[in-house]
Amino acid sequence: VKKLVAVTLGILTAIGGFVDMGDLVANAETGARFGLALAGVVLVGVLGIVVYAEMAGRVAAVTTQPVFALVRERLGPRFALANLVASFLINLLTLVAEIAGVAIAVSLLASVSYILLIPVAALAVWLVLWRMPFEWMERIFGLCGLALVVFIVAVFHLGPDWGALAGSVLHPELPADESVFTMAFFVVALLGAAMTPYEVFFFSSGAVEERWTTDDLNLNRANVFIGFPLGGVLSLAIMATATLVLRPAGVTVDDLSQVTLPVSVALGRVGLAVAIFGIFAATFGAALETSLSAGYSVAQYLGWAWGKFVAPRDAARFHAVLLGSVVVGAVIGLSGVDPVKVTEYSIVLSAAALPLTYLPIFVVANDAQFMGTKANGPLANTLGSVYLVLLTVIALAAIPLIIITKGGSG
Amino acid sequence: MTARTMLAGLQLLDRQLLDRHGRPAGKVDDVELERDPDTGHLVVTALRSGRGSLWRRLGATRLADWLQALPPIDAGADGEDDGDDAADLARGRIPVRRVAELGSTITLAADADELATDAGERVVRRHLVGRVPGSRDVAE
Repeated sequence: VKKLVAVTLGILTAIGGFVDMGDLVANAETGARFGLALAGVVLVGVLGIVVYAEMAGRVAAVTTQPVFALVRERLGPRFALANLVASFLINLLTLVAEIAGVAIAVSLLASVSYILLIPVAALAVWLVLWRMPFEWMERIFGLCGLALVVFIVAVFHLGPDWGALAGSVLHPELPADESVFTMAFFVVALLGAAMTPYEVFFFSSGAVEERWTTDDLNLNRANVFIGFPLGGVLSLAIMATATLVLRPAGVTVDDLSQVTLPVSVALGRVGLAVAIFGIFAATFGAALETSLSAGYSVAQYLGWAWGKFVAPRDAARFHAVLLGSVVVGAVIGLSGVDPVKVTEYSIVLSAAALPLTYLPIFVVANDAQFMGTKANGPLANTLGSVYLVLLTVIALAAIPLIIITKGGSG
Repeated sequence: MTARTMLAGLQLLDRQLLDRHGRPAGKVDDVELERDPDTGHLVVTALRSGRGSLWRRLGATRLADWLQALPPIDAGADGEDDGDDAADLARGRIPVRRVAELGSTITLAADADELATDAGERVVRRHLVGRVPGSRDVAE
């Protein structure tokens, strides 16, 4: 049981980080528009995050410092500042989406406008950040997020033609009403959603919060190899339910209720309630992760005290950043921006910043001065290099694709 | 500290500073060097942390000058003074004799609240975070 509890960091990172607003929206929308033609992209994203989260967790366990504390040291203050500014802004945008996601999940049950619930959601997020111990936080939201397994149950309940589904994964086709550019846009969005930078910020800082050492390298692997693939399977299930229900009906995804629609078709009201509960837990977990990541990144760049293992007054500036991020996130959410659009932009802009996040991890994990005998082996280096090339291509394509497709709609 | 030969750019710059109790206390933003008149070697005389030293290194000279010119904020109440470095420390200059240990992090023979980088922490603690109920308790 202890081992099982110990992998909760991976599960929270995976549920809250992998399956968050970005993945809910990107996977459901891709399923509704392209069927399972882009399912392979999710698999590529899962392998990528596994490779890089393993490196980030290993660096944290060996050096007892999170990767981003070492970025400035290894790559200089200028590069690290560019990295910090970009990831901080994307984080904030993601936080807006997650807070809105929490509010929308509640509004689907409570029939109150979600806008009115944003301040309540933001307050609840901040209270958890202020008072709840790190390990409780990851257990509660990680485990409740497992309710999203209802999407897998729904796929089976819908009784699909498995052969045809497998065929559409293996022989992807461009739907008649889509262009190569919109398809490319969603490839970028799915990779951005799968490899969102805050996942590794959070995972490596969380490892330091849990005081991992070299003895925990197996725990690191267990977390990474169980958590992220689990998130990937849930993402694929969401995509499959949209493929089976929304696509034939010609429904597109422009709010969260369409993400849960296939579950209520398959499993009725109980299934719907479970799905909404899972979405609530996953977006709440992601709101915690993104606000913590905002605090971690600034504090680690400037050398401030940080983390939930000290009293808030002993990490005052860190807690001020958390509070400020949640307030700004709530205010932007209250301004009436479309949460689904914010989510789409946050994941595609994440994609544009991917090399900025993953290059330093690769460099630090390779550095024998920091890592000694635990530096990257040939497998991590081969996969890591292949992904760096891929992520650079994706990053360069991201902004032009936003413009060409008018944010995926055109 | 005994003298030793090192690559200041790789082994000092941008490392994490810890105070004598192991609390994070900023980063090494810059180093001060002096040429030893006898040997001709460059010797590190002080570390710089906070009060604009980072911005000076990044080229934002004006911002750096402005931050450097700000009056120092009072040191914390329990700061014990080990000599006459108090004014230096409060201005973001850490003389090498206050460096206790060099490693992957750098431990200082000073309390965090004697240092310039801690001034912002104290202000935020006093006026914002310290006023919220529960700020003294570790969440456990």
